[in-house]
Amino acid sequence: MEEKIKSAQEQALSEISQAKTSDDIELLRVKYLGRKGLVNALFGELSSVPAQDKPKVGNLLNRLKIAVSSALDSAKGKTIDAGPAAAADSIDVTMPGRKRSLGRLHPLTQTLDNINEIFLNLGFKIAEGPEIETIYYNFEALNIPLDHPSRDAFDTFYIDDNSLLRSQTSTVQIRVMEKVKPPLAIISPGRVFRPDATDASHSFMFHQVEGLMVDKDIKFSDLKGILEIFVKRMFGEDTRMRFRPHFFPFTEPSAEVDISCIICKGKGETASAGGGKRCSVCGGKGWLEILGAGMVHPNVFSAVGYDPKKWRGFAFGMGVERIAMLKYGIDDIRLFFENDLRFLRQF
Amino acid sequence: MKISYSWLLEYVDVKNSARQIAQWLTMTGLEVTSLRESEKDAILEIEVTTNRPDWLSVLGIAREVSAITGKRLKVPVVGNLTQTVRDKQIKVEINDKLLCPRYTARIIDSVHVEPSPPWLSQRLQDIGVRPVNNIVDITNFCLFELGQPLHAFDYDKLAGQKIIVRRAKKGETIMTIDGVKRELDSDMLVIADEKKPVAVAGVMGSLDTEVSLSTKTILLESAYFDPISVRRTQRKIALSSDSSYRFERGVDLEGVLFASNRAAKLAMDFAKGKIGLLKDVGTKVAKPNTIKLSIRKTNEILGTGLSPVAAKKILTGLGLKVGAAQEELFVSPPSFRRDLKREEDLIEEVARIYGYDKIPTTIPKTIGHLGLKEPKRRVQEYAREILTGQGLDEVITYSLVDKKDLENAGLLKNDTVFIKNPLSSQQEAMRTSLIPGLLNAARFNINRKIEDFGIFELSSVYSKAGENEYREETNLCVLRHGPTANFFEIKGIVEVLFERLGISGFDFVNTPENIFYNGRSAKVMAGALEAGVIGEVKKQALEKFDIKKEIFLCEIKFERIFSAINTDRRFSGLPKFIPAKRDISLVVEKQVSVRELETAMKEAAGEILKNAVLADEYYGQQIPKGKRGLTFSLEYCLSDKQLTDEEIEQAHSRAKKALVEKFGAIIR
Ligand SMILES: [Zn+2]
Repeated sequence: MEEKIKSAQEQALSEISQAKTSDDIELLRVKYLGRKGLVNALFGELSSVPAQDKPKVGNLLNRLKIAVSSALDSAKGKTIDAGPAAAADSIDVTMPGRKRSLGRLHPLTQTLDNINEIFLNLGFKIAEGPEIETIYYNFEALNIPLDHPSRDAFDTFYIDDNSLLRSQTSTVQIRVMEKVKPPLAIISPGRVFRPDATDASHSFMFHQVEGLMVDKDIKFSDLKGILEIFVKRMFGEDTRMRFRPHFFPFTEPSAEVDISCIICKGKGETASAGGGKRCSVCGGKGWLEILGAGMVHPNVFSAVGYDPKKWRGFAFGMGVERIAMLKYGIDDIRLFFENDLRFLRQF
Repeated sequence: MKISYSWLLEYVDVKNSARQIAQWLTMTGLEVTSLRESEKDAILEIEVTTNRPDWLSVLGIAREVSAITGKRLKVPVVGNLTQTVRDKQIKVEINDKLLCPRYTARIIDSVHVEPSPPWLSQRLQDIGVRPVNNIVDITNFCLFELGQPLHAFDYDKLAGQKIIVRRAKKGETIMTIDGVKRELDSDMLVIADEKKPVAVAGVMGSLDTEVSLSTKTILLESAYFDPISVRRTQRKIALSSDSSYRFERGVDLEGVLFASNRAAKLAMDFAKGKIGLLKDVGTKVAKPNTIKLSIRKTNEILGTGLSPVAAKKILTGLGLKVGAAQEELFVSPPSFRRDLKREEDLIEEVARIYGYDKIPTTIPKTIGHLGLKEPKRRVQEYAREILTGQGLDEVITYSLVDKKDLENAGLLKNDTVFIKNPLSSQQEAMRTSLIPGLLNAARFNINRKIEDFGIFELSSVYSKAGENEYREETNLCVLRHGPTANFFEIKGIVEVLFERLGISGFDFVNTPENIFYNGRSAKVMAGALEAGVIGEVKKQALEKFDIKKEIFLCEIKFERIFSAINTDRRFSGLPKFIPAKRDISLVVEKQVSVRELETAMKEAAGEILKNAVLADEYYGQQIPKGKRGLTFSLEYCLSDKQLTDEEIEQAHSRAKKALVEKFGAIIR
């Protein structure tokens, strides 16, 4: 029986190797693999094989079937077909492909994943924290005093006398520093809330990613280095970055970070037929503000029990919607939360 | 704040263009948000950060330009202010020295109140301030020039020739210059005459002591009011002014008298005023403060190589007094720089003027640690992949919802969290479920003629966990609408998700749920845990969301199944033998469940029946009413032995027999 199978295989493979047209191959397929073909006939003989040999012979037969079938398939790929038979089988290749449905992640999720990925590769850990926070974590620990005009920038939704919806994810930095000893490098992505009237560029709910790195010898130049890597990976290698002095209660020195406009490449105007036209994305400035950053204020370290004489760090924060809007050219923040599938399916 | 280029040039010796100056200011922390250039002048709109009240004046900005360029600052010179009027008296009494450390009052007599000269009106108009009359315009001019708010009272309307700086008495009211009557309380500081309040300190004066065209003598106030007090008062009475804006950020205690002098001189020159009595009560000199600045630390923090000389030059240029240029600088900030309190504040000043762009870029040594995602986050990302892989699009809806939406979805519970200060009723409640948000998203798309879609959201829901304690949990909601959507399709989506997440022992238990059709919905169980609900949404519920089409949805308490998730995999070997396949078609009473039939077949056939899977359910002419036709695909196989035909046939007959005997099934 084993011999029989072996010679059948040799014969089949040799005939297949000589086949020239697809018709030849179809004939061979019927001869060997058809319902009344040779392979099936051999399977029929299996019942007469002694019981102890059955598994082995069955196995050989299976292999024969596979070998012949794959030889036929690969031979078919090599035959050169021409003439009327082939034309009759031809298909309209311009008809649409049959697509399997594949959903999409929300553009904010995609942007957030991009941002996270860059910082994960730079050695940051992702830390998350509650959206319902206390006044302490949202303001006091971040060196934002009560009754100071700097709080105006952080108007807040309150839930009770002490609880609020966080207005920035820096709250997570405080929570992490309370638990973990330095050195550390974290980013905290998440939802934040500010009672801003909704319009094309304001939303009462949006997403932020805040970063923090603490070690003994962290420098302002390190902050510039890290953010330069981020900016170039996020917006392209030819993107330029600039730091402008600014004020944040929780960092000092503080900076706002601009990137060269991704539409006009920093020129402030876009090429058009009648000469340059003022770029509408950067308002002709050539720069787009995308980040706030700075060296962690000593008061923040004191609040979490780090010795400000021993530890130094930098922190930065960015709005995910803002970055997604720039990256994808979206001009209205409300689109993110309307969930119009005609919008969502473009990303 | 707006300033004009021409006004700025009066105080600093530069010839650079407005554009160049705007660029410098922006790069040192005074962001010029707009620059409007005309033929004669240019208007700069500047965003002044809350820590720099000294920048809220043309002189302050000129000082910055001088520090950047090294060009000379030209502080206005007041000149001779000899008192010529002696017959008019004023007494000043400060009752609360904490809220008002310094108060100056000066009598200016014989003023001619009339429209300002053109140059003065122009200065104000350029920056968007409406000229009123020469006296009011002079006080405004000085406010914008020096950053010190001033107020002019009509002297003759003050009772008892007396100024009392005190807290308001309960029940006192004042009609402010804007014509609004305001209630005062004892937390508010007022300026009063002998009888009544004549100004809300630092915010606005009263209408009846306002300077008018008939005013002959004015009392000019220049003072320092406590920032917090002014801020609280301003917020309480909801009245903010250019004055309160500066007081709440902190004015220059030592600059109070200078501003008064400057205004008095202008009143002499442009309102024919005669100088009278001056009272200057309270603290005249700010507490001195000397800060040590280590140049080594400065360079360590910035990553620069600045010399002591260079640092000293920068700080001196900003108007700071600096000791000898050595490793440690001793720096005394002037009284208008109360924001400079510690070494870091000075390091920032050095960095600002040195230029952030000159600081190098380096890579921190901390790098080399491993980036890490929490397992929970990884699982969520994986779940998103599995769901999009099944053709669902992700949505993100608001965490704050309309209370009515929760009510309509039968989800308004005692533990719902509410916002105390919502912007509108549409955002007053924190969602307890993702269902309302997804139903609203579904309606939005159905109304736009999108007729076949599946969406999901994986995000937080919120509830009260106790007195002032709150719970945030991650939920998953999947919604399907379309021609092929039905219960089993959405069930399949959840099954694939659970299988891929390695959640074993999940089950669907028929239980009516409030927004779902009774008998067309189920509880999703993960072991003994109630993990969620699934089903077809009732028409009555959909109507409340204005949806007229069928919706199938499922909400899973993702947080609760988290511990059941197991994405570890082990290879269990490949099957050595090919299974034998057999079908069974039968007709059975409709209420017999597929689960019961499967169990019966498995029990009867024994361990060699590996799988019994429903392949088809059918109704039709051949099937009697009240019954249903079912086809199962069965797989017979053992892992260690090739089955004989006989063994298979015997087991298969046992399975059929069990169906007939237990359920009266007719095998076809
Ligand atoms: Zn541009």
